[in-house]
Amino acid sequence: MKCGRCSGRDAEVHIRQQKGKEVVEYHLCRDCAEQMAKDGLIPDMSFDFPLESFLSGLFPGPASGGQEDEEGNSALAGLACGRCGLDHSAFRRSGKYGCSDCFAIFHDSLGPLLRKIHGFDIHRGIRPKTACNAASCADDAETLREELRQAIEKEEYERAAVIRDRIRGTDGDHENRS
Amino acid sequence: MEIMKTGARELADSPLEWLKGRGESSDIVFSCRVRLARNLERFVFPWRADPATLNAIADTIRARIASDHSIKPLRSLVIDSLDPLARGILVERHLVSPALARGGPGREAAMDEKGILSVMVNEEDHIRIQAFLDGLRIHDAWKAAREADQSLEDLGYAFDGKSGFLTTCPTNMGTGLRASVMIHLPALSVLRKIGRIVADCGRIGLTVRGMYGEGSDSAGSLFQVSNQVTLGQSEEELLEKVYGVASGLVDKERSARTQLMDVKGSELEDKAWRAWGLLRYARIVDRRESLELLSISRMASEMDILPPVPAIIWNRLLLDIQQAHMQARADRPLGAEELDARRADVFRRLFEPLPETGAI
Repeated sequence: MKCGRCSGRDAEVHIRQQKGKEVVEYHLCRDCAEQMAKDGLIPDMSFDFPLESFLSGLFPGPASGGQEDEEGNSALAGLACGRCGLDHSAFRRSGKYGCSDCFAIFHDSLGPLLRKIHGFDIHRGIRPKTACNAASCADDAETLREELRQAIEKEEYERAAVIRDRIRGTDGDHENRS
Repeated sequence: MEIMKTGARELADSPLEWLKGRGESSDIVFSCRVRLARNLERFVFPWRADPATLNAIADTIRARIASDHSIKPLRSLVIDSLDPLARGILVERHLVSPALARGGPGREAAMDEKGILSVMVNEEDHIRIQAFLDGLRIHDAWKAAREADQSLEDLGYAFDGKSGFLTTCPTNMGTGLRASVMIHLPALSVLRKIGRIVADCGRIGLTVRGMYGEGSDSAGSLFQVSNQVTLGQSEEELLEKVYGVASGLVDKERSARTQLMDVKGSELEDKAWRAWGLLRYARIVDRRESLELLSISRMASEMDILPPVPAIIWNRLLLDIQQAHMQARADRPLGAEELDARRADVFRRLFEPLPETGAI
């Protein structure tokens, strides 16, 4: 099917819009669809929108990436990853980590981003065998025990149960390997 | 293993295990997929990497795949070495995502000869392992994906003790696991139950989307059910959730078919035979219509209204009527009208010689 506007390219965007009792259908190529959305003729479907465009709404502080970091976030503005160069504003704009170091750098500044997305922020799945040496498992167990203490303090019992399961799993790994 | 130059025709004819349609409930669940997102600790993530780094990542992964004989042999394909048609074939087969098919430095894919496993390299993450199987064999798909995962983990995954596998996008963090099923729900669609199913699945952390078109309006009543969250639950729990909901939907679809037969039996029979007639004799069929015809006739065939047709034929048709597959078989680009005519040819060649029940 050809685009109903330019008649040249193939229609890739199909919109059915209810206008009162009438149903209007549009079959458009991407270019025309984007143009018509810009002109306000059809709803803005955010064509080819990156996932991050709505993820950024989950970040603390102002949602738009343009006016970076109000006073409340001034401490975050200077954050940047020394390895891949991703800075806080680029991170917030893109909603993506640039490397495994970014994760540690931006993690604390994000507040409970992962909990907002997943409901939980503690991994309970498998671990690569390289990440299961006794020392790293012991570190993890310690971090988790602190998380558990905080969760109980905040009366987040469901989360506490998840952390408890993870501690049992981690301790088990540790015991198996030591 | 070697890097092969591969043509579209060869890719279009290569086997895909799920097409066999022999797994549990494979009359309704056409295929299942388990995908794992992984990154290597020592490289920056693909979107931050320069071309030299992207190539180094691809070299590292390719070398590992070639040297490990514990996993099934995989052949590596460099996306930039493939013509657009070959890339289209891989996308239509879901072996490669549309994003990876755009190509660029270090963009590669490795796949096994049975069409179960595919490893995408330098997509959003360094490594995306996918395993596809027929029916509700989601735990088997997990095993296949996990086997490749264990082989590659010696490369040193980016992993954090608390948050799990580190991924480019926080939505994949943790297990990096996305389990999905492609499920055919024509009777539930006719009975207008899809909206409710989408809402109920959302409440328990599953996403339902149309395979061809969005929401309840999905052409051919084909839907994908997958886990939304990847962190905070174990792989086993995530797989079990998708498996449990999918098998529940299979039961619901079966009883909806019985209900449909009870309430609208003659209407259903009429629609089914009309679809059958179009598959046998029509000369022009557009994509949407083809999906609708396949949907109703497959359901009616499974309900013994229409003659029996093996699952492998129905499954193959889903691929064979897609643009890149038709063009690969024609060995030339086809315009929109030619595609519609060719689609009708594909159906006619197959259905016209088939015997009908109640021969004169």
